[in-house]
Amino acid sequence: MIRDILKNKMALSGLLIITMLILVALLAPVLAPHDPYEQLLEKALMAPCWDYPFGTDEYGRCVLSRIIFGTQTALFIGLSVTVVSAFVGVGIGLTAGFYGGRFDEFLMRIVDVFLAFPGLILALVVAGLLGPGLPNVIFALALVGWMGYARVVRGAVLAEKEKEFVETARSLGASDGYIIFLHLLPNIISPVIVMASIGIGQAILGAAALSFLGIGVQPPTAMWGLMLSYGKDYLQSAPYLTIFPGVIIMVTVLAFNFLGDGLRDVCDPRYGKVIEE
Amino acid sequence: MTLLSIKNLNTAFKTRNGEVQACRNIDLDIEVGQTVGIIGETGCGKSVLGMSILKLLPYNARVTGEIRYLEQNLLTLSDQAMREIRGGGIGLLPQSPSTSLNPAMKIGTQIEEGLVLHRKMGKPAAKQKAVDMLTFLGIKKAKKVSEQFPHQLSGGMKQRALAAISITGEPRLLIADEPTKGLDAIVKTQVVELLKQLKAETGAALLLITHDLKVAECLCDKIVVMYSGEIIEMAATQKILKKPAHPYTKGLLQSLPEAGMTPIPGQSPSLSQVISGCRFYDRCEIRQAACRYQRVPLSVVNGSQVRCLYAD
Repeated sequence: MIRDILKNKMALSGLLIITMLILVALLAPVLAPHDPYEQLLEKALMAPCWDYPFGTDEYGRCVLSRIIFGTQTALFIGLSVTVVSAFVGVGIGLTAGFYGGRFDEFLMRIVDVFLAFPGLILALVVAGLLGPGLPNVIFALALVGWMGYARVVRGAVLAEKEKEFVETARSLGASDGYIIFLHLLPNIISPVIVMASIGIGQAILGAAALSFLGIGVQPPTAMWGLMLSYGKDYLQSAPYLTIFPGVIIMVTVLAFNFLGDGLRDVCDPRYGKVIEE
Repeated sequence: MTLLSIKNLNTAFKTRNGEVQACRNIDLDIEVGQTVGIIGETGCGKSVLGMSILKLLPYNARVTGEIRYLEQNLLTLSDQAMREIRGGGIGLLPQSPSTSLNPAMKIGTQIEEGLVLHRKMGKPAAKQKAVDMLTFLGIKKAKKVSEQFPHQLSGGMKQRALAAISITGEPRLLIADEPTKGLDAIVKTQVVELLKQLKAETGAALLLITHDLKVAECLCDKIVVMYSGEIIEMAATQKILKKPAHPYTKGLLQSLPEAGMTPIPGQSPSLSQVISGCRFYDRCEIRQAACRYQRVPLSVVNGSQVRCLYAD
């Protein structure tokens, strides 16, 4: 399995970038050339130079250092939002798809209700009601992110549960829970993994959007999305304030997408194997 | 000793187009170690009968009557107790080997499941036992195969793996649902050998659901012929093949290739159709006026049980 991932170029490149990002996040205090929160107004809005490779922002803080520390925030939000929403979505999708009937109908109407709201607006309202802070942002984003998982998983379960191997398991005396988690889950996990990888990127973007609107993670926390929104005022005079955070967001999201696509191929048991006698 | 005793079993499905009655007043006994073949054309309710025994029917099915396994009536058993019976008491050898294995699980793991569940084996012991079972069923390099996924196996190997799975719980009755459906002659012979081997190994009784008379002849002690949801004839294998009593059974035998492939004219009635008389009436060659309206019971003719008023 691990060898297959390493053989897949897409997965490998995604994994390399993500590993690098994780290392950067863990070693942020060592790697950052400056204190990301130290304001030196006399050095405000400096263009990239030897001392400040990515320049400085309007308060004279080192953009590179802030990007490095922003990695921590970004990965943390991305991962926790995805884990929470995937957990809830997969759970609801599995039970709804497996038991079907009115139960399924009920759960899917709840999904419809959630899908009827524009995601960001709902997150905005929830985060606004709960007040600023990282846990509230995560809750708000997870609240608008689980429906996709529920839908996809339900659909996959509806197809899988009719297959004969489920009947085989039943004829052996397997219980519902056993069939759901040991037989169905492994068969439907691939799309979840792909969605989750893309979801991490989406969560990072969503968190940035909330911050931009003044709800959610507050300044002066080092965060890519916040840097983008503050940098936009200087788009003409200091484009590096937006270019560098923008590039890093793009690279991060791309890396997770690559990893997701690669994993999807590798997770497929038919991938890269030949029938041996 | 009677292992499984079915009394007055009726299985019906509620559908939008009314009630479809797939099994009508089925009475059937299976002795310990006996092989019983259920013969009938597609849609005669033979598979439904098998699934009724295991209570693995869709939610819209309604089963009445009595299915007694040893001392328990399966129809009144709780879900929990029924799960103990499935695999542990009554095993199922499923129809299509290609789709009946979980594609995302190693062969070995799928065999271990039953061992862990029914024989309370530890994981390492189950692992070893799984390899032993595959070896016994004629798979070379069983250790390697047990680490493989279903798509890496050939059809015959999958069938063997499934056979191993079906006997993991040491069932006393094995239900084989069309095990030879869609197989070529060579593989069919292998499956018949496999079933013989399974029986020899486990001493289990076998309920063989098939439309292949030849397969039934090779394996069965007793043959039950079903038509349109009813048992129409039931007798020892040789008796039914040599001296069929019911006109439908005679027709079946005449439709065999070596008998000249003479088809039975017409089609069997829909399972939802209510017929007061004989369900074979429309296609019968020896029908009489009485057959049309009079309910025909199973009666003993020359030692066979036959549902025909004019059987000879």
